[in-house]
Amino acid sequence: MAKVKTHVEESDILIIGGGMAGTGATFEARHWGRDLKIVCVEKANIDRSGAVAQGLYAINCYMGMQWNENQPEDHVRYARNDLMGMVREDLGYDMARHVDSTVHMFDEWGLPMMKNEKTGRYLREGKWQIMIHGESYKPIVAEAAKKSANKIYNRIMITHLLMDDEKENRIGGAVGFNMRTGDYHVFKAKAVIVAAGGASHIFKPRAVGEGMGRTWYAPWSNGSAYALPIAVGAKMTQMENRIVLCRFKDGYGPVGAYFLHLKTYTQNANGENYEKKWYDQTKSLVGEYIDHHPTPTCLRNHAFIQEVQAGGGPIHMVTKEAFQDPHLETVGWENFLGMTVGQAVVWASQNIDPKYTNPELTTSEPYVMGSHATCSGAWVSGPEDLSPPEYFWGYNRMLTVDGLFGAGDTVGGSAHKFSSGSFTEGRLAAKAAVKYIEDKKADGIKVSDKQYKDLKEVIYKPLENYTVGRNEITGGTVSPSYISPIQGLQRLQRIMDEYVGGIATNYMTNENMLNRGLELLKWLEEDLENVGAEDYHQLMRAWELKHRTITSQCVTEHTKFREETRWPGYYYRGDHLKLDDDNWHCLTVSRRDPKTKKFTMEKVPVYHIVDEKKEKKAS
Amino acid sequence: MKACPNHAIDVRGYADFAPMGHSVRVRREEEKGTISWRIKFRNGTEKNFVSPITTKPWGKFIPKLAEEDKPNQGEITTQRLYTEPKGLNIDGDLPTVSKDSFKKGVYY
Repeated sequence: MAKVKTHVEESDILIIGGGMAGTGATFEARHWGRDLKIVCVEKANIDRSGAVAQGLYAINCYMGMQWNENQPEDHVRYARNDLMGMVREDLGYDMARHVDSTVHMFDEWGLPMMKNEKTGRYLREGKWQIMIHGESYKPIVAEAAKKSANKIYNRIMITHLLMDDEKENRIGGAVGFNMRTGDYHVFKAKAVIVAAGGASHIFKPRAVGEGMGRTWYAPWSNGSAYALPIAVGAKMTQMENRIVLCRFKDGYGPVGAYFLHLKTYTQNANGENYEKKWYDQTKSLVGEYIDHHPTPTCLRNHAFIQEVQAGGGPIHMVTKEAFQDPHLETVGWENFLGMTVGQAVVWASQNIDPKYTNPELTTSEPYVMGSHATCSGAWVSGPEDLSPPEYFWGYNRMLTVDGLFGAGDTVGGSAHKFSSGSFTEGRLAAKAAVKYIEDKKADGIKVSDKQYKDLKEVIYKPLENYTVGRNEITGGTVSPSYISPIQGLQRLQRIMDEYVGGIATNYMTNENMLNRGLELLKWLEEDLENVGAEDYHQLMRAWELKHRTITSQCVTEHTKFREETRWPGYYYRGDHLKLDDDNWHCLTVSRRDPKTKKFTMEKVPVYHIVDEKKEKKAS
Repeated sequence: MKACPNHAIDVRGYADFAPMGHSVRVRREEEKGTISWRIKFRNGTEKNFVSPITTKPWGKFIPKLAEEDKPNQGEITTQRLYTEPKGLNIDGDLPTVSKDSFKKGVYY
């Protein structure tokens, strides 16, 4: 341990994660905080990190206010409808009213936007989406962050947040290690913005061989967005609201451009429109929500799952018609090449040419992604002009820990942000963090040497577990004293899959299963004290696993608390199969006590800041 | 797949679902501002695509905010972000909602 070098960096604003939200925060922080020291820390390299690392073929959130295509209240109605009524409308409205200025900057910076030749407007893929040639989306955006930051640290995984030793519940920085050099990094900061990744692969994935942990959604997103705030006692919201994605089979290529732009559609193996077959059954579960327009994504998933269970699979996307148009064929292929190349690889390997063969679809394992189509994440303050009293405590996007801000996957309640909305939310958090510092809220922070030295012992323990434990091995590789990160991950994924509503049970769970899941997760948490890492890369794997595990505990507690099935198609509470607006038209909020590690749950009112009237006219 | 973004690389699919005999080759050229793809199917079918990766000389039009105009006095207390409201291309200021219209716990 003594040989590990320690670096201490003092800054004003520390941004954890250099994905879309983190780069947005780093960029904007410089505008408002000209003389502040701004540091961004990234686990990979910000040129190719986060969910947009591989590229993106559409910007999924653009209002087009300049042409009155949509207004922020329209987006609130859309997200509210898709999430079955449960969103933080203040946060959604706030993101939506700013997102156009973000997209206009991307255009100026050189991101190739497709434009309608006649009108000159951005080419719409759907009501909210505009089409881009986005293979280099992330390197372009990263350039902006690099020009704003005092320093960007790549290849450092942040494992813990530091707290102020003087004032209770105030942030003091973060610590982590460089997975190449092994050096220990201490970042003291006046304000911290968590812009890390959501939780992929906490549930057992469909690919369990070579493709395990390598198939989209962003496999490196290991739940740090949630684990870091949960561990210091920040409140979380809607963590039960995982998503199951309807995707092209095996490669998990997204279906958005296919449905919206190419106008392809789904059918069962007999060529039937199966969705309408399940209308009455769905109505018996959720009532009039099935009549909403557009149909909430979870309910379309529900029909898919029911149809496959009833023997109508495989479900196909009908591409043969659209792909006869050479332009649409090109769009269909480039959609994957610049975003999810693995899907093009799968089609090439299986001789699937969508011009002649309708490709198969599947429903994925569940994911927890607060920037995508779920509301899971931290409970944050909204903006002063839009938030009711329960939702406002001084600084936009500040968590319930003073000086700790969030953006992107971290922030709960504001689904459907996607890339542009996450960047925008990073900008909002950064401005608020600058104001927090200017208001002298961060004065007198003290982080003792003891605090970060104690954490150092904890962080490097898996290396010691391995070094000591391997002495007990007389043959082979199995030690009685430690488990490897991959073994722990497989146990976690199996617990979540079998007890918390994964693919093994067709997304079904109930209170008894959740209680058993929590018991097994507790033992896993204890066993992770004995995880062994043979090198720094495995040390990263060990900490990714620990972050996934604490996130999973929170997801399971929330799933147990909400005694209804709010989102059939995402998961089912078999003991409460119906949507229950009388008791559960509310947001769920949790807090894990850092000392006792016990979760407490509460219901918080959902406020509707936008009415429904115009929605009906628009549809 | 992007470990070596400036040179042509081949990829093969994961063995648990991708039969062999296919390839996807990619070449990304920053100076030309393009990326080119060649897809070979297991049955020999071949498809080629080229896409732009940027419309401007690399990085030249991205501002260094430390050298730009400073925000106006007091602007930190508004809801505006950098370039706003001008950058929204709309008439007037940022939209907002009156708190009088908020409704607690009703079913939309």
